This record gives sequence, C-alpha cells and structure tokens, in this order.
Amino acid sequence: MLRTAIKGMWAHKLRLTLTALSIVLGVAFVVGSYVFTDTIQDGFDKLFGDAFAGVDVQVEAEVLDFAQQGAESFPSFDEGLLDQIASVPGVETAVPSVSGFAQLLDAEGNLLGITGPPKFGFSWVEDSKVNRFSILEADGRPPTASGEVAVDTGTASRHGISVGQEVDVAFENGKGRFLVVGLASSVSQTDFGTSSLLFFEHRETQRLMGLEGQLTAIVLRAEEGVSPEELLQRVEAVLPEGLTAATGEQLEQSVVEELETGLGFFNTALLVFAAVAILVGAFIIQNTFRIIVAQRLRELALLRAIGATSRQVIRMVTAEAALVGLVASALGVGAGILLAYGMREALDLFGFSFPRGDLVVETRTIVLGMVVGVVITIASALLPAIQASSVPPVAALRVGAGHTKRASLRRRAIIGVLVTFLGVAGLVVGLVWLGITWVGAGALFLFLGVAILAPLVARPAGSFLGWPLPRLFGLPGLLAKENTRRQPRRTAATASALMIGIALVSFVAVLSSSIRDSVKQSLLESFAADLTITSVNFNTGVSEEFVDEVSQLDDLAAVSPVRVGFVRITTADESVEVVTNIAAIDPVTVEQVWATGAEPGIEAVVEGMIVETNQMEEWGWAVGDTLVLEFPSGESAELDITGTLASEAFGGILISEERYLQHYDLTAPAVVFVAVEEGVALEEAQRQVQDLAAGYPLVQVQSKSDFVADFENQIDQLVTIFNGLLALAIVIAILGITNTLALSITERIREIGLLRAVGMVRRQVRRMIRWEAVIVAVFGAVLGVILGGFLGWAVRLALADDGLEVFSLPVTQLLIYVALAGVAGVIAAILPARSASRIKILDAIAYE
Amino acid sequence: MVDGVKIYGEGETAVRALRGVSLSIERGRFTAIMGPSGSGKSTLLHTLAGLDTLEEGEVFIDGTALSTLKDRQLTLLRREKVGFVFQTFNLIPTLNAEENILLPLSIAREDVERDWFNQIVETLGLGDRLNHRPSQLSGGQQQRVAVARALMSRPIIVCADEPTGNLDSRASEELLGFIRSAVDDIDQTVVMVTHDPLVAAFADEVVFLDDGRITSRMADPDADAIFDHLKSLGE
Repeated sequence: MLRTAIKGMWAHKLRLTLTALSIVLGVAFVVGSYVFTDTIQDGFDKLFGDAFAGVDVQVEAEVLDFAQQGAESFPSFDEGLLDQIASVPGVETAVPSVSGFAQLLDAEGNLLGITGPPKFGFSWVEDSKVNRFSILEADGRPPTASGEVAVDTGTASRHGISVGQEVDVAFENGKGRFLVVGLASSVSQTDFGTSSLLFFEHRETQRLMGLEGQLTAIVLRAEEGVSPEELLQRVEAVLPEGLTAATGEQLEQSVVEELETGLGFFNTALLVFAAVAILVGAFIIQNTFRIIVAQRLRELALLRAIGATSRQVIRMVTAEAALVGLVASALGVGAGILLAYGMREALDLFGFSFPRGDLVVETRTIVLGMVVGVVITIASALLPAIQASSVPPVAALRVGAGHTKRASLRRRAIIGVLVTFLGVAGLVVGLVWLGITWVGAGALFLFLGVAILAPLVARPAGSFLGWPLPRLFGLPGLLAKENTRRQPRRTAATASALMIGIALVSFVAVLSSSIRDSVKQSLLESFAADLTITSVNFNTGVSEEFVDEVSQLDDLAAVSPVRVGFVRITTADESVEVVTNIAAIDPVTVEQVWATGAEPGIEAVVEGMIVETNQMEEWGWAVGDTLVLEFPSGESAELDITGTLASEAFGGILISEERYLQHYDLTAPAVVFVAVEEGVALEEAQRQVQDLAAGYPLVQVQSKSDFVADFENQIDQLVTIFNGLLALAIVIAILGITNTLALSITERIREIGLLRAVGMVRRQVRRMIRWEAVIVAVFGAVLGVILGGFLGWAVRLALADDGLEVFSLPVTQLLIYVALAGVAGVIAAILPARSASRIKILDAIAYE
Repeated sequence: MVDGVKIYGEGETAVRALRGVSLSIERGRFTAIMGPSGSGKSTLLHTLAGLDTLEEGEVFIDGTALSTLKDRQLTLLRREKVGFVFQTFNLIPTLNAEENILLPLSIAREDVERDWFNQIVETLGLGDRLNHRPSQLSGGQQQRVAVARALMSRPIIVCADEPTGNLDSRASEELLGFIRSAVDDIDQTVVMVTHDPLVAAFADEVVFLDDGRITSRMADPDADAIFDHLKSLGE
C-alpha cells in the first residue's frame, strides 16, 4: 500500500507542493521561534558567563526581591563601608565600584543607538583579576583622569569610534564631553549587541552618576585557602542593615535565571503565533486531503473492489499524509533555521542587536518541529481518510460522486452550535474568572464552531457576496458566483482558514482602538497638564537638576513631579498582601495638572495614603484602614487610608512626595507635569522648557497633543508587530485558497474546456477563477471580522473596570481588512487562473 | 481545408494523424465523417472547428485562414461562427438549460434574439425544461440542449463529435431528426463525426477517412450502402 501511496503522491506534484507549503511555513515558525530564542539565550549566557569570573563575593545595597523586576536601578550606599569590609579576615582585595546609566550621543546631540538595551557606565577597576575587561596595548590605556573615557570594542566598531576622538555622553543628570583614551575588550571577546559599556575613572564616575561618596558595589577577592562561601559568611556577619552580599556564582545564577524568564516569555509569545499558523495550516491540510479523496473516489473504490480492506485504504491515505508531513516538516525545520537567521539580521538592521554567536539548533527544536509537522498532517488527514474508507466499491461505477448528504447537515448544525457554545462559555469563564489560557481555548473552540457552521451559510453567502458579479462581468461573473456555491463545504473550509487570521487581526484592531480611545479619553479628562516631561529611557527618571531648573521659569503656573516605585502592602491582619505600584505627588501643585478626583481632597495624602475606589473594593479596604507598606529598601511604614481617588493612573495608590523621599533611594521623578501660566502661549512655554532640556539629552518635553500622539504611535507600533506575526497565518490561508482553486480546476477541467470551445477567451476564464477566489476570501474575511469584532468586544467589556472604558469599533480599518482579503484573493488566484486559461481545450474535452 | 497535415509527437514516435487532407464543406449541407478509430476523423473535425492547429496546410472558415489567428481571435471565431455538440459533457453543471443554450451569447455579452430562441426551444421540445439543471435532464435532453446551444448563435458551421454516442437508439434518432431538420429548414451547415452507419445515413454526404487520408466520399448515403462500403474497405 505504501508504494501505491507514493505513486499517487508523485502523480500530483503541484497539489503536493501546495499542501506541503502550509506545513513548511507552520513548522518553520515553530522552529524559528526556538532557534531564535535559544540563540539569544546562548549569546547572553556567554555574555554573563564570565561577568562574575573574578568575583568571589560582591556587596550591594539590598533591594527586596519584589522590586527587582522591571526598571534597572542602581541603589547605592556610603563608601565608608569599604574599609570596614576590606578588613574582614580572608579578604585579599576589596574593590569599590560605581555604575549607572550612560549613553553615547551622536554629533547632533541625539542618543546613539536605540533605547531599550542597557547602556551603562562603570568605574574602571585597575585590578585585572577582578576586572573582566582589559585594554590591549594597541587599544590605548585606561581612563585615569576626569574627562577621559574607555569604550567597549563592540560599540566602538559599531559606531566607528577610535582612540583620540572626543565623544558626548548623556547621563541622568546631564551630559559631558570626553576624550576616548582606550577601547576595552572583555576576556571572552564578546560583542554586547546594542548594549554599550563606558568606563570612567572612579571619582569621575561617582560625580557623573550623582553618587559622590557613594558606591553601588564592593567586589571582593578571597585570600588563598578561603572559599567564596566562607568569605560570604564572614562578610555577612559584619554587614550593616540594608546591604546584601552574594558569591559570584550566586550572582551569575540569578542573572541567568532572570534572563531565562524574560526570554521564556518571549518564546511563548512567538509560539502562540506559531500555533495560530499551524492551526490554519491544519485547516488547509484537512481541506486538501478531503478534496483529494473526493477526486480519487473512483480510484479508492477500485482498490476496494479489487479487495483492499477499508483499513488498508485508511492506512494508504494516512501514509500519504505522513510522507507529505515528513518531507514538509524537514523542509520546515530548514526554513525555520533560515527564518531565525533572517530575524536576527533584520533586527540588527533596525538597531536591535543581540550578543553575537552561532545559531543554536538544539536537537529538541528539530524533534519538536518534525513531530508537530507530522502529527498535525496525519491528524488533519485522518477524517478524510476515514471517509475515504467508507467508499462502497460500487462507487467506482458511479459518476459524479461526492455530494453533500442532506442528513449530515443537521448533524453538522448541532455539532457546530455545540462547539460554538463551548467556545463562548470558555471565553466567558476565562474573561470573568480564570484568565488568558481559558480565553485562548474559548477562542479556539469559537473558531472551530464557526468553521463547522460555515458550510451552512456558504451558499447564501456566495449568492450575497457574488450578486453584483453577473451584472458586472456577465457570464464569468455568474459562473464565479455559482462555483462558490457548488461545494459549500469546500468553500467554507477554505474561507475558515482565512477567517482565523483575519479574526485575530480584527481583534487586535478593535482592542487597540478601544485602548487608544479609552486612554485618550482619560488623558483628556483627567490631565490638565500643558506639558509633560519624561525620560526617553526606561532605566532613568527625569533629572532632578533639570526639574529644579524648570521650576525657576516664570511663565509656568505649576511644575508637579510624580515619582513611582514598587511597594508591598499588607493589611494589619495580614489577610491581604499585594505587590503594586505606588505614586508620590506634591499635594500643593498636583491639582493644577491632574484631576485626581480625590475625596475628601488631595490634602488627605499628607496624613496617609489615598486609594482608587475600584482597587479599594477589589482588596476590601475602606477609608480609615491601617496598612503596612514595605519599600524596596527594606524599610516599612504603617499608613492609614485617608481618602479615595477617582483616577487610576500610576497604579491608583498615592502617597505624598515627602513620605516617598524618606523611603526610596531612587528620587528622580518618572514624570513631571507642567501647567503654563495663564496668558502665556503654550508654544512659548514649551520652547523655554525645551531650551533647558538641551543640556539633558535624556529628557523629553511633550505638549498634551505630542503626548497623545506619542502614545498612539506606541500602540500603532505594537499593532504592527502583532499584525506582522499574524501575517504568516494569513499567508498560509491564502496559499490554501490557491490550493483549493487549483484542485477545483483539475476537477472542472472539462467544463473549462467546454467554455473555451464555445468561445470563452482566456481573459474571461481568468476572470471567472479570480472572482471565485475573491468571493471565498471576502467570505472568510467577513466571518473573521465579525468573530474578531466579537472577541474584541468581549475582552474590552471584561477589562472595562481596568481602564478600558470606551468601546471603539474601527470600522474603516475592518473594511480595509475585508478589501485587502479581496485583493489577497486576486493574488491567490493568479496561478490557478493562469493554468486554467492555458488548458489545452482538446485534452480537457477528451479528459476521462 | 487544404493539404491538412497534423502530427502528434516528434521523431520516430510521431503519429501523423492527418496526411494531406483537402476537404471543403458545402454550405447548407449535412456532412458525416466516418472511419475506423485512429483514422484521424476526430482530429479532422477539431482542426476544422479551430480547436486544434495544423502543422501544414490551412483551414479556411468563411474565408478566414485559421493559422493566421491568435488564440483570442480564434476563440472569438469559434464563438461567432462555430457551434459545437460533443459526445458527453456538453453542459455547464452550474447553469440551467436556458443559461446553457445562451452560453456563447452570454460569453459574448450579446443580446438574445428571443424569437429565435423560442423557435429553437420549441423545435427541440425543451420548453418545459428550461429551468432544469443538467443533472435533472435525461441524456437525450442534455444533447438537445447542446444542439440548441450550437444553433443559437446562427454559426456558419456546427461541428458534432459523436453526438449520439451515449444515447439509446430512440433518443439518437430523435436528435438526428432535429439536426436534419435544422439543415433542411434553416440551411444550417453541419459536420458530424461518427462510426455508426445508421447515424451517418442521416447526412447528405459521407466522407471516409483512413490513416489520415480521405479514401472516398459518398453522396446521399443510406445505411446499407455505407455498411457495404465499410466492409469493402475492411477486405
């Protein structure tokens, strides 16, 4: 039977290629995701592998674990500790270290390289046993005086920086010009990707980072015969409160773990998109095999007639699927590796460089890709195979088999409604109680349910969507319309594949549009600020020196900084414990820039904390309750809830600026809101603030409309990324349309021959095929837009309390999707239409 | 057709389906082409109808040399000047009988002469079948729809390839009667390929073909004479 399967496949190379292509793409996405993340992981592992090579024990300011995620921070401590630590028995050397944010500027004073990847400045450590960087003789010398800098070799070559050149560097509190005196290369010669490392003389670093008399770490080397663990114990014994120590090994471990979590999340996200692509691929494979089986009904019946058991027929069709799956998966694995390579190069082009290294192709990745591809193919072909096996031998003698049985329609309706209902139920359960996994499963069932139901509406949909065609294009239009109505199941299955992709992009469109409008509304309603000052960088806040300078300006009515931080809040009875964001405001100025809706009034914040009403409800708090707040520094305080808040910006919990500064090391505000004095033109005020900002490259000054536009821009970027990832699912669906059309054309070859014989010109044949594809594509798109709109509506509703107050249906956007699907249909039809128009009339007529 | 030569394949395996056939079809006459299988009779019909091209020689329809036409012009010529009736699969399954009859006109987006349509439909007895799909029609009815379609555009020539090949004798006779009356009543030119002497007997003239050449012609044939002639060829 295997031989028969192979021969059967070889006889239909084109449809084989098309079927295989959808598997290849799906598998490529899975494999690409893994190879890409593995490669990045490997790069970072190498990067950090020797980061703590010279460190036996390191002392740092303590940061509670809950505050470690998120923003990079550089908590510091008094340098007086150095002598105390150095005198601990067993310490050979104790090296003081200071680090902070530092980013190179280009000639125009703009930040060099994209924001995001870390850009750090360090104090240069002379001790070569501790310092994993060294400066080769040919690459200059270390920085020894103020105004000197050493640059890591990767960054230097990326931006063409050489020794003797002057460079501008931005810090949180301003900028400076430095002479490049050396290029520092790491022991392992690692390239840090887009991260950049700058080195300054120790005292200079303290000054630049605003950490005079402070250190961010003390690095210790143990004497011979003292193990790092022993040394750690001794150091911990003398360590004052608020400081922590760890061995180099522990530090490396925690960095690697943090990284793995981050990349794991990234990988999962990619795999979700891969799963969508595979789901769509499965639809197409199933549809293809169904058509192939229908077309080979006679052949299969003949096999049955000459004595093949139904089990053998199932085995033959499954074997065919397995072979296709095997070959396609192998190709997919190869394509996936290329995809990962391409992804890295593309990101590199856009400035997102990762540490360099070879592509990492784990055995696990290959096995997974192969298994996914083969299993999905076989599973998709199983149903058609079972149908094939039920072909009675006499069918070989009948012509024109393969009609839809009426009786099965009812069963289909029942099953379809049931599955759809399950989907909606899963969705509701997920949205209301159980979270994202259930939402995903619900959506999956919803897709399946609608796909099962779609054949029931395919005929009327064909008539409806195709009604203008006969009028516009005459007979080819009429035939296009009729052909879509001919095999509703085939039309529906082809359209459903496209439906999934379109539903997801529509969902993204609806949700993003709702987010955009909700945020816009709340921004416009609650923020009275004329200007908003933020840092371009996640790692830093707005320079306090800059805030002081801005406060001196006469034309401003209010300059109100908002500081944020993590906090762990516990109720007095310890029944509730939450880790959340907290914001600190200046009660005197805040009301001029932000309508907080505080009750009884914003002054209440001075006495304790005020909490947004929804959150109060969620955690069961009431005004007058006493809560314990634990800050990242380890300090804690008892505070009363003294009022309520309407706005939930910044996490919905406010304390006073004064209290914040008592407990947090990080003092730079996250945002500074500015109100302009009445009678002063906004542009004039903005210009004045911007002039001051020239000395602070990291500071960004935006008017309210700039701020809104910036936010919209960010949303758009996210939407673009999502759509880019979903594009693959759509491409696969379009291949599916091509595939179905190609198969249908083989089936209808005599019909097309007849049309050509009685006078249909090639252009009309192409037009007929093309419009059939357009109807199918638009049908899928309409289903998708409806489903996606529904999903968006449901998710928005569930998140209404979390700030998504506005439901916004981006009608134009959705209509564009439908129109684009039509265009995709035209593209999908190009090849089938061409081959249909080029059939040899005589062969077609003589076709038996 | 003048000196028609048709070759399938190349080199040693080449099959010369037509080896210098010259034949003119008189207007308003019913011509049958007969010959054993492989004699080239179907190829002759297909080249006459502009469905196939010749390696050498030329086919003229209404004074137009077909070899000078590109695919599009050839298609338009078929649409306007040639009617077709095939042995099987004459109709588009998604269209009803009326739409099938009007197929060439709809393809050309031409107006329908309603009187002409009614006359054909009435003559062929299809009046109550116009809204039926092909799958709802008997074999004889399907072929009558095909004949109606062939006549509808008033072609210069109707080419019929074994039109009765799949019909029982009663339906065959009926169909041939219709074709005969089209020739007699409206001067329709018809060329038909068949291997059945009984069928060929309906024609005004029979052209015998063997091994790609015309071997003989017979005017006003009857079935016995054709049968005898075929027998003599076999000897």
